[in-house]
Amino acid sequence: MHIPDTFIPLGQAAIYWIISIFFIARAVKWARNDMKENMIPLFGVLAAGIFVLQTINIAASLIVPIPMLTGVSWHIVGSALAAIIFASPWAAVLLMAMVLAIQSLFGDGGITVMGANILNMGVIGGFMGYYTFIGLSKLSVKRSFAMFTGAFLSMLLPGIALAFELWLAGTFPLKQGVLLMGIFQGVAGIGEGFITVIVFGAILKARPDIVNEETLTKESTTKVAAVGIAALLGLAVAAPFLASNNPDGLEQTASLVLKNEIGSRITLLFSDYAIPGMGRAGEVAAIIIGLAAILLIWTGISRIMKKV
Amino acid sequence: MHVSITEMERETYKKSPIHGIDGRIKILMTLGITVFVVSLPRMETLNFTKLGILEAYLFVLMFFSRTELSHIIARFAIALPFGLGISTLQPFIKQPFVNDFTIISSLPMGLEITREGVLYGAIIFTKFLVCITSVILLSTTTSMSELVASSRRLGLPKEMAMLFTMMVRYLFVFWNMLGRIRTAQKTRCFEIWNRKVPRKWTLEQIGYTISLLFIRSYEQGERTYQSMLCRGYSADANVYVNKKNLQITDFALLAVTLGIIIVVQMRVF
Repeated sequence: MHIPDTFIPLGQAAIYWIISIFFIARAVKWARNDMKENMIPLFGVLAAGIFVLQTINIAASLIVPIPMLTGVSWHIVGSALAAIIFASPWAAVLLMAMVLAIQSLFGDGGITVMGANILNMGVIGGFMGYYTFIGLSKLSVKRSFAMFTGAFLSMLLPGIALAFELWLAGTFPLKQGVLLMGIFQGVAGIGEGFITVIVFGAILKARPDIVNEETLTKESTTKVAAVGIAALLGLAVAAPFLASNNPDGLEQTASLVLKNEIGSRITLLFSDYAIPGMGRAGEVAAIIIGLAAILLIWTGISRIMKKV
Repeated sequence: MHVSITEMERETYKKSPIHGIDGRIKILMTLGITVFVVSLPRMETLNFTKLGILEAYLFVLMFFSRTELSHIIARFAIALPFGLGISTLQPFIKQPFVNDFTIISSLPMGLEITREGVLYGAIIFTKFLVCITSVILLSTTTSMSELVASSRRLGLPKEMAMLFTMMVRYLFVFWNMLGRIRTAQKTRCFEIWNRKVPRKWTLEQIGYTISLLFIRSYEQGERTYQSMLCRGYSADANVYVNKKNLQITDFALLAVTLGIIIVVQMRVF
């Protein structure tokens, strides 16, 4: 899942670098200030360990035994695991940035595109993995399932982000990229989920003091909601580009049975999830407006429920 | 083909004119070549000449570095697959930045091979090849500790320098540790690809191996941190990097590299 040099134009690669540098700087600040002591050396040693454990290649067919996956292998990334153990997504950002820098010396991921790779595996993987786990835990979902889901998404979503980056770069078509990365990263995500649950359980048995349980249980709901909204906004921007132009089953049936009778009787505000005359931007805007409306309704209902 | 990090590091301790060049110069050369290659136009046939000259120059440097040919081939074999895969698919893709396509061949299932796709695939792969060659040259002639020290001299923030120093120091320790764990597993006839045992059991064993490595690296980190504290480490501590002046040969190589890039860009050939 490491993008090599030349697959993303320099201008776009620079943007990913700028975003990643912001996150790396914040992660270093976290390591310096938020940990119990100044444990930066410990992180350096741990990054070496994570680098080495990423060299353990596992057959994809071990997870899902289908012919398509014959010869395909994956390795644990560990961004969700690191974030959950240290109770902070910044741990994942810091560790992944270091591991990716050394991996680039092996030609595993490029130099100009390292920003994009850090953004995918460190930032998206770490934040989504961690806050999915926290969010599901707050909903009283079984811990191992919450962890599995977090680790699964920490593999799947960076893969989808990579497909979008290659599409923006003009290197690979979007729908095929999302489909292929979805399949491969989805399978790898299942493995990552199982391994994360096993490793976390083993660490909890051997060294429970390593896991920052207190912070895990006290993590604020606002942060979870903020990351959730950010993810939904990302989905809102992505959806129009992935959506099929063909009608769904109900629309197809209605058009066959009722011909053009429905369309002429009802005037829709955002017909086909789009603001007329604005193209793709209108489709994105319509979904964002819809998302905002749902969030407002949800906030309103939850406030009323609290008062009741 | 397989190259371990110890084999890779062993190559960096050879003596050669390229090994003797200052790490800063080699880092700047690699960055310069990579950025230049990536910035080349996407659909220009002249790119092949430009990239050919750069690749030839890098191979000349590699020849002078006395790196084993088998090592270079093995490094390429590891680095190329993903890039090769995406480049190979380009002839079948309609690139959004191309206006008109010339269809060379129509295949079943609506697949078409276009002249522009073939050109873009070939250019992107050649560019990728040059970038990989420059990275291989850097990493086979510069040790990891020298790379960190040189990056620090080039202005890498002290926290990052500290992190990389620790990481590089223990990379080989954990690599050997994983090797020992694997040997121990082999003596017990454990094989990750063995399909005769239940998948759940195999996954559990992999999970336990990873847990072991994680806990051992964490505990090594703790011990290192404690011993650093005993030696007076604090939040304000800095990684010591000795001053190193650039030699005339360093400047010469940098000038030659920049000269070649300028000549290639100005099309003076």
